[in-house]
Amino acid sequence: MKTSIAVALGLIVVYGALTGLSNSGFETLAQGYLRKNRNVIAAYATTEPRQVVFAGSSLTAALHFPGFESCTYNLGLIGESALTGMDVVHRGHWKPNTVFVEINFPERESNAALIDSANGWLARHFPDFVYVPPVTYLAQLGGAALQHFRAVPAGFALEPTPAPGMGTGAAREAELAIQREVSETKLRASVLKYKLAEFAKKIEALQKNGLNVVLIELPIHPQLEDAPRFWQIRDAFRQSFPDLRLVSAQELAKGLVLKTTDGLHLTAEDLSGVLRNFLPELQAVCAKQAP
Amino acid sequence: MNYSSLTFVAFFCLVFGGYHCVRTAGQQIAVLVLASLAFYAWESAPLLGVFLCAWLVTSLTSYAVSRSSSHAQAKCYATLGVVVNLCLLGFFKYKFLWLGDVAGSTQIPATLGEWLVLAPLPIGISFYTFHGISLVVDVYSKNYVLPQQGEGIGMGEHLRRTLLYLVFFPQLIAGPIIKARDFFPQVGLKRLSDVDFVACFRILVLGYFLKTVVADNLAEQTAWMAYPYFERKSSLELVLMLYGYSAQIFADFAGYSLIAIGLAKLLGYRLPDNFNFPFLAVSVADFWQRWHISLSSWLREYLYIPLGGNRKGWWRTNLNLIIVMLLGGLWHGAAWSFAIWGLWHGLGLVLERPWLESGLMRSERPAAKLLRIFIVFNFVSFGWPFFRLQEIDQASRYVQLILHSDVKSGGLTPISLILVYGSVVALYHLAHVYRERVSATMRDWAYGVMLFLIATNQGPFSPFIYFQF
Repeated sequence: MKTSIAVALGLIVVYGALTGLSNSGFETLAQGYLRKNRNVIAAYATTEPRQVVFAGSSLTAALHFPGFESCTYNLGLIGESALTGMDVVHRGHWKPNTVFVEINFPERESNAALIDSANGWLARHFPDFVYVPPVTYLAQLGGAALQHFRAVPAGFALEPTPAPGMGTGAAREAELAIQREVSETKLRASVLKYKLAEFAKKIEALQKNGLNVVLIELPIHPQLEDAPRFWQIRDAFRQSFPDLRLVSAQELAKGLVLKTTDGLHLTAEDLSGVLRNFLPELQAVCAKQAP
Repeated sequence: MNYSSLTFVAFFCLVFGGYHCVRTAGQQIAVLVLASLAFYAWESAPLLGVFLCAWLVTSLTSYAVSRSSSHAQAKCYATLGVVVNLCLLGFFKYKFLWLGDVAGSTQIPATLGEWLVLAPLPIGISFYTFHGISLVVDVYSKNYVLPQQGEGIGMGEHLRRTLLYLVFFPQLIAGPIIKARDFFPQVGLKRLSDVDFVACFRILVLGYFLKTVVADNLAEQTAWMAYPYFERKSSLELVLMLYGYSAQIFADFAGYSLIAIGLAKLLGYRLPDNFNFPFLAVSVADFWQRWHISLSSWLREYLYIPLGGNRKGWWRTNLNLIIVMLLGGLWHGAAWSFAIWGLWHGLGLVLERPWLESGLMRSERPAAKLLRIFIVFNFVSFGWPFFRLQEIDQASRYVQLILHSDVKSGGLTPISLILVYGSVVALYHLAHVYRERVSATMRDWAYGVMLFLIATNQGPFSPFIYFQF
């Protein structure tokens, strides 16, 4: 047992020194997301208080507010829902005046483990040490090297996707088709009900702290906008929170023809159009509450 | 409370300290029972009532069986104990099959009836009801004889010991299932000086390594097996993900089992092994003697043999195998896909029986053995879609796409990750085959490397797969 512990400690020291020196990371997609999410949450704790916070998923994470950086903080977390963001606000040292709560993916859980890991001692003091798993790193280097030396892809595409034979447009269509299929199925009523109760609880907690909560539905591809699942979510939020203002996807997409990258995520062009439509709302919130 | 969380580590340290501070067996049992109840209540306090109901029925009926004056009376009490446990399991687990969305909703129940319908699946119910049945049947069949009152075991003591047996927290949520006759004789005073810390260290390091490093990293890649995401994968990727899932579920469940065994060992209890290098199995029957051993042994003893086993002719043996595997599949969850998964294995057992005596199956030549291992591994792997996807049409679609998919393969990185983490499972099996050539120094170094990887190379957290059952 002593030898094993000594070996482990020795390796940890060597590895810690190497990662500290190289300060680099090569992650899988999900690890990359995890790292980004952690950074967003960790930065929330150290940032100067802002007037407006956006809590949501990757749809929210894509939003940028040029000119409003000192007023807004984006708690959009990839693969998460607004529930996690609301928890971050609730547990945070500072409170904004207004929280925009994205309603697009209410079925996802609040990720307490993510918040804990972002606030953990190791993550705060040795972020590189925590984020670069050596075996994964080496395996990916191996995969990338093999791919690099592959002259003609026989069945394999060079990363990143799209797959061979499918241009960007075709890949986008394929993604859209998948999302269309998913959105045809409604969420289970019991699941939605449970999640709405969770939203209500967290919104109430924020309101008790004097925060103004606004619901926001980010626009998606027009073909998905009226799909059963998104109808169901929209209706459920309207019925459950009749007193809250809901910035609808319809308002945000007014006059725009959204392309999206995969049916759900907006392209840069889409985003600038959506932000143009959202500008009056944002100006009002930032101006009204400026000290 | 997840076994890999800091909360659990703190909880266990507290229990371990308290447990070894008290000086009598009775006090130790009390510490364990209280800690286990707190552990259970932490997860789902309202459902503690269901557990306590199972405990009361099991204790009272098993006690009544042991004190019965006639065989008929004992049989009556034993039947009652088994039936109530089965009813609890059947109702709370399988109501989801016909109640659909109503069950598990968050509506606040007004009556007990409503509560029963709306309650979610009680954690660990599949395990503690099986433990309960084991106790009642073992006492009835005299495989375990309850000490008489003169020997210091009265009704109160039996209630306390049975409570410990059912609620013992290292195995409460997902086993391993320990038979009453193996557990009860172990109840007694445990001394700190008897704890084999080196063995516990090795078991726990291996368990945490398999779970957090191998299973959690593989889970990140096999997540794409979910519908509809697998639709965008090529046949090759689908097959590799299936192999990856084989390795993942093994690492996840074997890892969990080792952690449970290690924790129990620190408290002085020996839980049965749950896995014995299952991917070295040379037949489906051999696989089930190596995979989830505590469940397959439970099913064999309490279901297959009472059904007649292989003593009632060819047809009846095959029928018994199918019934046992079908029910074993359904035991995993309230979804018909689990029944199909069980049926798949049942058919495998039936179809291989005529071949078990053939030259290929009996050959000891390495090539023949390797071929058998390869066939069994593939047979097992191709059953996983029905386990993983839980919707029959989705699982069928997955298998269809393996046979023919128009999608070309994507990047090599996910494949390389499945191969790397999957090969750890292969290496684990290989190390067992060549265990005599592994020196003590190599073994110590291997545990050191595992410890290092637990600290630095954990995958994104994912709950133990078997916790849902």
